[in-house]
Amino acid sequence: MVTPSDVLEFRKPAENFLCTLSANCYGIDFLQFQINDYETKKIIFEVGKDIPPVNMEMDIDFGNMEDSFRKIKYTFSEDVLRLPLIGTSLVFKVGDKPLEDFRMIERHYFRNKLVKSYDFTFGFCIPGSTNTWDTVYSLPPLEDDLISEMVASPYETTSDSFYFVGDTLVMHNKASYRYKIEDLAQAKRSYETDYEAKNSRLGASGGGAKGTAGESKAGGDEESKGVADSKMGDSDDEGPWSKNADYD
Amino acid sequence: MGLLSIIRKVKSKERECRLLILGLDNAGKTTILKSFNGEDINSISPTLGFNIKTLEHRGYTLNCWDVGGQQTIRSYWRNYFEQTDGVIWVVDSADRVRMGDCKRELIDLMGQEKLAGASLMIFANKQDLRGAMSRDQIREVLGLDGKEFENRHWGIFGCSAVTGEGLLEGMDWMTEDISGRIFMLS
Repeated sequence: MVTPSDVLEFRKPAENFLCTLSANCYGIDFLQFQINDYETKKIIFEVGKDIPPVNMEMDIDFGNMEDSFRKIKYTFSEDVLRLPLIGTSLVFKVGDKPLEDFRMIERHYFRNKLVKSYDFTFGFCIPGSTNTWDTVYSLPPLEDDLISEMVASPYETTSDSFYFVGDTLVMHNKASYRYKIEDLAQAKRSYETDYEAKNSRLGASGGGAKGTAGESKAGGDEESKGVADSKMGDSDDEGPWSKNADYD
Repeated sequence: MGLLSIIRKVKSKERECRLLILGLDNAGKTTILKSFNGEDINSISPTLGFNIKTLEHRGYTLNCWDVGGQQTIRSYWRNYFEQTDGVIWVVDSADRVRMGDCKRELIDLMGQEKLAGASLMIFANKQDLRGAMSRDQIREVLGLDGKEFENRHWGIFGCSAVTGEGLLEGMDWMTEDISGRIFMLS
């Protein structure tokens, strides 16, 4: 049986799925996922039950349909590698059973080398609830060489996402990523065009406490990296992206 | 907040706080969170679970847990008390009818052992609505100067999630109060 501490030791992508689809006996269902530019709130990528996917496909293997549903290919703007603060938003619902200790561990690799690891504990989930998890990743500037390499190597950036209830693995998904080069001569980024209707609403609304994101972003980074390192026990493999959002 | 977790925070130098945002349904908890974060607030529906949101604010990472306020969900609030540094209690200042419920739930919450060390910040929300009670009226009606709160770090701020007024002041107070308690050794 695979435990959270096992997957935190992984240094390369898992060769197979480490649980069956039926391991998800809690009825956990992802409803929506979004990536945005935290400072401008512009949507960079979005997929959901009622949102037709753009820039996303399943890796269909007709000999093994069950696995195909768990292997997704994404295309993101290269801006997700370059913007200083990236926000993500995940909406999921759970079935009639309470989840006592829900936790996600995600391992990201480039060419079979670990580049980042996320570990987040949701804790308790209310039976029948729909929940939203918004988080922000501060990315210290990546080396241009690495970014160029990743952009030039479609689908060689991959990830394994593991979801645990307590120590029991209930879901395992795989993804691979391709990065779309932005033409800086254009007035708009590709995603500004893709999500034009939604993004244009942003300027019009939100009296909000504006400017708080911008003026307060300094400082968080090094601390969270420090936590990640101590948890991982192997800072060399962590790379510059690590963010550990574990609340235990 | 146990001594061990204080030591842990100081040691790891993580400037992170866990905030729990509670209040009756329709108080505006989610709207406050989204508005503070500069997000679109035009299509918010009742929270039937939680919204977790990480905010970067003045060098601190605020992990905000906004849990739905409907009566059927309130019994699950206790599952989110652990390691809470601050409670943000949101009041619909225009909902005079349920101000008694609001007070009862708040006092019940503050009696919970796991929240004994948490700072309490009250948002008297919806100040933009005609007929809203003022911050001072709410302070009075919730009995904040009574014995239930005498050992508590608390603050109350009038605000409007729609206009954004007052949100920054409240969040600043919260961050400063928590950092004064927890991060002073670091």
